[in-house]
Amino acid sequence: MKLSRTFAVTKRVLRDLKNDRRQLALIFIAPLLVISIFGVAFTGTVKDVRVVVVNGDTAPARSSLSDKIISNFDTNVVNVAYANSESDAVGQVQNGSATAVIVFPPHFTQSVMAQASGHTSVAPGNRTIQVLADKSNPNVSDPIIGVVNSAVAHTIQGLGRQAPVSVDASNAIYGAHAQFIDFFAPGIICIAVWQLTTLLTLIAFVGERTSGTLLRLLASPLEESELVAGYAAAFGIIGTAQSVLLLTVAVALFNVTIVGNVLLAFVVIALLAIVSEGLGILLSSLARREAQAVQFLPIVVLPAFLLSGIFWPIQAIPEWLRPVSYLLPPTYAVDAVRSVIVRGWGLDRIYPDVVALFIFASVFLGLAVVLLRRRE
Amino acid sequence: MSDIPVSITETIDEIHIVAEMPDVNRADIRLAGTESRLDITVANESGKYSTSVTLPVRVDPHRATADYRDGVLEVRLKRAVPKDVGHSAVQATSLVKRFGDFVAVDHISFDVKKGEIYGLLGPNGSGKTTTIKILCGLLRPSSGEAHVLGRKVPDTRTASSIGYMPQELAMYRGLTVHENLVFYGEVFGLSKQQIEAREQALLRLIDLQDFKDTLVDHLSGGMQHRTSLACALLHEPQLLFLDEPTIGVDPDLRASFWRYFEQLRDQGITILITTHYMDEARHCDRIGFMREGRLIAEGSPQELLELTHTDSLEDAFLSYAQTQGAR
Repeated sequence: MKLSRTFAVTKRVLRDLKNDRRQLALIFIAPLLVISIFGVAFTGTVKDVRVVVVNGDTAPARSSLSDKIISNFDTNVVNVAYANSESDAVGQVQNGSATAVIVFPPHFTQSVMAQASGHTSVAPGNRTIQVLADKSNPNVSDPIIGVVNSAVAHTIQGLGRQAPVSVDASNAIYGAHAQFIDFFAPGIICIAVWQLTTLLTLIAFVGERTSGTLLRLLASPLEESELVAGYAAAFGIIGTAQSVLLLTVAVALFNVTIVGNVLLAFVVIALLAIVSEGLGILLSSLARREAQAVQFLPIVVLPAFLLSGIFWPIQAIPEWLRPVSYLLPPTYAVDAVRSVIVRGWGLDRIYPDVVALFIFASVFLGLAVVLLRRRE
Repeated sequence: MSDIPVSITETIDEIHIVAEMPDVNRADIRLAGTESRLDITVANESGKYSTSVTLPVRVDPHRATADYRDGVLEVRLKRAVPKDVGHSAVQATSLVKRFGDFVAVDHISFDVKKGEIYGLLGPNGSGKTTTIKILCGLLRPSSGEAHVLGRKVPDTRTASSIGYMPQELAMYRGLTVHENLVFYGEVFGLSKQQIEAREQALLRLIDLQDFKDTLVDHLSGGMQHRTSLACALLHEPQLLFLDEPTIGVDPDLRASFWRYFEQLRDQGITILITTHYMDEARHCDRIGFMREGRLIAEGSPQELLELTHTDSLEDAFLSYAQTQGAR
């Protein structure tokens, strides 16, 4: 393999891109649009949601724990109203005038304080705050649960001792996150790189086949491995550039916090881009025209979009479907990038994902070279 | 009648033996032999006589064909090793290419001498492109073999000495003329200075100096053809494979293309060109007519016209096509 010829291919691919404004727009503006739409749609810009409190707590106002918690609600997010009965409150949610009902059980303060001071002899009363939310839109209900949770935490902190209050919001996976975007931004970046790189390689390679350039190249001193590697380098660069841009936007506009080493995240994304490039070349041998190539798009995009853990963890996917997730390269990239960005993990903890991506890359690129080398 | 007058002629891949044997039935002739000898035996009521022909080169005894007509026996023997012709740029020996049941190229043998323009002529689907692809190492022959610049194909070492212009033009439409030339130059390992110098000369040749920085996509069809030719010439190949370079090109440009080709030939470059425009083949030094995968005639344009008593290559082709069809 000769480096100069490999880079000739890389430069060629990048030049092609530079000359094609539409493709440049596709590469950089489309994912930006996607992350912005998702960002706006999913971030905690939930404001002034009307919640109805049904306070069954009978403790006097001065010592009432429930009143303290209610006063700690984030009034930017929720707009508190009161109702006397649960059925009345639920009615308000049903007719759409409110989004959630928050129920404090009778003797709430008494039960909590008794438990907190160790009077276990007292029968354990109900210490659970119920949140009955209109969950048709979890992006509104989740922040409400978040508000209740943080108000409880804040109140207990003010009490200065442990108090066993529980909030019944079984959907607690993201409930604590008002900022859902922290969870899915890494996923969106990976999926954008995966989808666009596969699509661009596919189109570029079908072009190489139909325009005859591939014939000319195969009849030239350029080796098949140099061609594949040249493309890989080009798309590695493009994928990294895309992710830099996307991550910048995520940080600047949506306050995504990067905990870990961002360079490690870029390395993972470049690796994913190379995997996608290999897949694109493989798929190109199945398509005769560019129009046919585009038809592969749903096959490449949809399963990864739904099953690679962008919006919910793999564990939330039905068990029988999970093997499909593990066959999708983006699954590993999403997991690795999210772990680096959100959890601050290093290579020592994400290496299984990196190894998986390496295996995918070797298999796809290897097959691509074999396929190109094959002479009828 | 123990002496049968026998004449032996050699071609690149065959030995032809012609024996005059009047008043004999075909059924009475027996042929036998080895790698280096052919025995012809005739046995009938008037007696039995035989002759043994010592062959000038080794042959493949299993691939002999014989034909007896009008008192003349003609035996064709395949050479075991094709004749080594030092001045050949391309030697194809009994090339066959099958795609499934379809035989695209059917036992064709020909020889392109260094420094000549050799034209493969024939209608669409006659196997011209497949032949070129085999010679460029893009397809493997099903049987038979070909040597290009002395090396048996496919051989990656010949790649840097050949220039190939596929039918599809093979350029990056999203790149400028200059960028295409630079890319192909780099692929062939040329230095920046070499590319620059060659580019200037080529742009002058194809008369595109003013379009150096124009996207190929924005060029007219004829300009694209000229650029494609320049891409094939950039690395100064010894041998050019041009697959239908004049298809869809207007007559003016076709004439100037042939002027380029003759110019290149005069510089010592060998050109193998395919076309289905019969009339323009008169510019070739030699041509081979192809039909249904077979090479049905070969010679200089003049020879082919004289042999068929026609005055256009198109009529000459039709004349051969009819004879072949009658067989």
